[in-house]
Amino acid sequence: MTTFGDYQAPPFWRRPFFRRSAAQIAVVVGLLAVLSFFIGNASANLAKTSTTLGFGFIWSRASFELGEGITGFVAGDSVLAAFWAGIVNTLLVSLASIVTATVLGIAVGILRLSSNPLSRLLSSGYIELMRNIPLILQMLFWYAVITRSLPTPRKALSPIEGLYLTNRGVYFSVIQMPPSAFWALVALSVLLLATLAARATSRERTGSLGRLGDFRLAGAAVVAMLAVVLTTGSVDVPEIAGLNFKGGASITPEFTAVFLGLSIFSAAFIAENVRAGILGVSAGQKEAAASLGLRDGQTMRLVVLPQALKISVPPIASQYLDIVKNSSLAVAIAYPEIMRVATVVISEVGRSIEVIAIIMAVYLSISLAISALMNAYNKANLAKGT
Amino acid sequence: MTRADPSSDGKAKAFIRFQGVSKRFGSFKVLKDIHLTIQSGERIIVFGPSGSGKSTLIRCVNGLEDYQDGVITVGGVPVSRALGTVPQIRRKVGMVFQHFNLFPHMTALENCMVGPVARSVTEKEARNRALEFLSRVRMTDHAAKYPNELSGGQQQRVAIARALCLQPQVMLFDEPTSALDPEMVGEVLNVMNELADTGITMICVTHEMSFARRIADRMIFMEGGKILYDEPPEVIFSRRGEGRLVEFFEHVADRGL
Amino acid sequence: MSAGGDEGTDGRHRLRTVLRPLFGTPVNAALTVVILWLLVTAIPALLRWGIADAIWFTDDPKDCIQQEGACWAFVGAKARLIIFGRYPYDEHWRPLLAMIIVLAALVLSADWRQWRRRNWGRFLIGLWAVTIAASSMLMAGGIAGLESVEIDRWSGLPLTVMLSVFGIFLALILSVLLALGRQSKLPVIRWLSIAYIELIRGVPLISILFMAALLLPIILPSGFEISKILRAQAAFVMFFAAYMAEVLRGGLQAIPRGQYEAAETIGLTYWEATFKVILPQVFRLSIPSLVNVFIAAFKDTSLVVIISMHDLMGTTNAAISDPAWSGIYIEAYAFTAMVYFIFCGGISWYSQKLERHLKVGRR
Repeated sequence: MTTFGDYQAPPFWRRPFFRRSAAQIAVVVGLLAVLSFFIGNASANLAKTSTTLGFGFIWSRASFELGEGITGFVAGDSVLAAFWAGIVNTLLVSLASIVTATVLGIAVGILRLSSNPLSRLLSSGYIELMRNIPLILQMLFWYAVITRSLPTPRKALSPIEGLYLTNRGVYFSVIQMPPSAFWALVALSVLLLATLAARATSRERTGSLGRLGDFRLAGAAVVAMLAVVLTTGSVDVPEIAGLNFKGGASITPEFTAVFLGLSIFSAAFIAENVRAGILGVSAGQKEAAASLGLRDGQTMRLVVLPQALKISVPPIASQYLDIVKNSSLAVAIAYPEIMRVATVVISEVGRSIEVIAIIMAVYLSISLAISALMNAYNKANLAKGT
Repeated sequence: MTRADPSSDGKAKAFIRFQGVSKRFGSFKVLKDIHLTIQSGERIIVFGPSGSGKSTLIRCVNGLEDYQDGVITVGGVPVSRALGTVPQIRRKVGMVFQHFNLFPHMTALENCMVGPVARSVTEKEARNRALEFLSRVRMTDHAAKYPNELSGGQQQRVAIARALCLQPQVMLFDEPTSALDPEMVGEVLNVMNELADTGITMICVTHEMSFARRIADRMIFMEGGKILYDEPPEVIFSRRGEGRLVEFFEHVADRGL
Repeated sequence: MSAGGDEGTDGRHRLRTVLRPLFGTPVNAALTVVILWLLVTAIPALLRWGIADAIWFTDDPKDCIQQEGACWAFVGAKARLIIFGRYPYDEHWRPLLAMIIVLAALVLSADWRQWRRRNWGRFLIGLWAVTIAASSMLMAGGIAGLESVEIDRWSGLPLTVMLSVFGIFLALILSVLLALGRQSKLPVIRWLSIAYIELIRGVPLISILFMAALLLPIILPSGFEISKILRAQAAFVMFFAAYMAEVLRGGLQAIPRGQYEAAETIGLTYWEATFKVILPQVFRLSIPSLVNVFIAAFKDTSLVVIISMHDLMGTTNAAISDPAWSGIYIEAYAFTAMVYFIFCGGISWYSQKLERHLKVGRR
């Protein structure tokens, strides 16, 4: 083939392939050495207290109560059930906070860009204040306000009929109905959502007549829902009985504090994302809309917001992820989410290594699920070609 | 204009040699079986339509691109990533890029010093050398400026000085004037002209035809990853009306070059 | 849109330019009314509580408990506890001095006019090595006639400052390696870096803190005691390194390929190119985002209260749990919130100025 003349190739250890392989092998060997050092120490330390590793303990009976939860966990159920109660509580408080923080954040973000100087001042003051004070301080503050400054149930604050604020929690009236009526409501709301979604996705293709049909269907669903509620529902009002309220529904001080802290704190960040999204829509777009004769409100609704939404969704989704992770701060006020359950299990059962592995796995799964959703959303948007 | 004639100074020998070199990006063949020999001290102009593989050709010489078949040797040493000869090749080969690629966080002087210092030249020696070459490209007054304070032509002159500071035996130019505003092309070509007079080996990808005519020993016309013509400038310009050259020269004439 | 048509006298014109944004459109008018109503109801009540009815000086907690207004005397009585926590009372000057040293080093590093000086990066690394050593020795004592203070008694604001500043400094070093690893051509190193970064970013800081607090003693040799504060510090470094590595990755991806090629062709090795050519540019691009991570770190050190350490948040909790002053807590939280606000607000103000400066510089 070819000749190099009297050229001598460099020795093998100067060749990139060798060097790369050597570097990677060295890293792996080094890591394994560190790892085996840690594992060696751990097994020596565990042997001293004659403990063994294993996840069998999750089937054992939990001898503790958790305070609250919607899974119906009680002492005597398995440790696994306790973890499950914690996961559900984490998701519950996260979801509630995500909804509130989104609504509040969008409002504050739009007010931040309003032409009204007072609203700009108020919203930027809110954003700066909330972003620069640690979340845990805010949660502890709300918790202290509820448990220390609100009155006892007997002297409950009642800003509106059927709502009572006390240092034992928030009590409010609920509408009660038979299970069949409840499921009917669920079915009707699914129908409503489906028609709205169909309308949103097929707006380009169907004519105005089709849309009118959709509206009629949606209206009928709403009327039917109201009818179900009015005919079968009865109002359950909380009433004072002894030292506390009976009836109605209640939210614990812990949940309220976590929920308030997370919502108010995260709304400031979401507001910034919304603002960045609106500012990210180019001035040319607004000018083009104005030159078409759209009014300010129409420009905002038809041109700016849809585009701003696309810019803001990825950062807001990562805020949602942060909300889920930040809900772990609730451990500071003993709201029984997953992290709190973990600390209780560690103090009651021990098994810190396994418990930490479990909570890491839980949070990682939630994170992966949320980023998978986000990637799917991004892909769908990309496919739409904007 | 006095100029060393490589064929008559006696030391002429094959310095860069392509032997059956092919390169693919995926399934796309960029270079197809290139054979080329360049003597020490020769000045080569490479030209051709865009996508013809001319940039890839010179980027293979100093190992910025790898190739699949054949072998390129520089001064008898094969250019090969697998054998790890690339650093040793780069000691002999300087390169100037279309977009200058100066380091924005360093002054012109520091840009010129960083290479020699990394090759364990003393700081003082590197500074002297940098100042010498900056004066050769008439940039002494701007030595303390940062790239964003310089015009495109000035930046490209600094980039030439930076490459020369390593005292290479061959200089590669990858379209050095095509990212410049028209009024700055002249100052860069002047510097390259003077460089050509020093007798250094040059391989230059450019569409500046009058510059090519002035300095080239050989002009290489590439299309579709192949060398179609490899002739002295007189021959190329006399045959501008034939074959594939017609289209290219018409295109160049359209742009008023 | 309001340019034309404003003739008339000067005063009326000025009144109009003030009133138009407030009442120009129905939406704005409604907003103005609602906000004004909010302010009118909230501000007088706040002023009455915070100033008019407040108690500023008293030694007797009972004075406060009967009062409607704020009890700032409580903050006065507890200020040193909140700021310095459990550090020996007579030695409070030492954490104060240590904090001043750290903040001075911070201000010196933040001065962007110096960044173009030769070898400034090396100087900063040296400066921080000295700062960390000097302030830790000052706090720990045991030398130069200083009384030795156990590391577990470090608390309050100095602990918050040191955990966050030292944590960020060490995390920065780790994050550079992680970011380079994530962009590496060597697959094993790339996968390991990605796995580390994604794992850490997928879990909350508290879980890392728990891991450090509970697992470090298990995986280290028995008899090798590591203090709680150092364990927390290790957790912060591990955690923030992953976030900073992502910031740096963004910077690395923004560096044009030509810079790598130019560095290669003038004969720089990978490490020379990285440290002399690439990283200086990456830092320039990423500093505003890195500063944001620093703000987050400063706030997030407050999480150590959960593993029962006494940083600024912890000492605040300790202060309000004093039974003698029972029922008083808003004042203490307000004080602590103000301290955090001043620090974080200050840093973010700096970050905005810096960002503007860097944008101008790049033109």
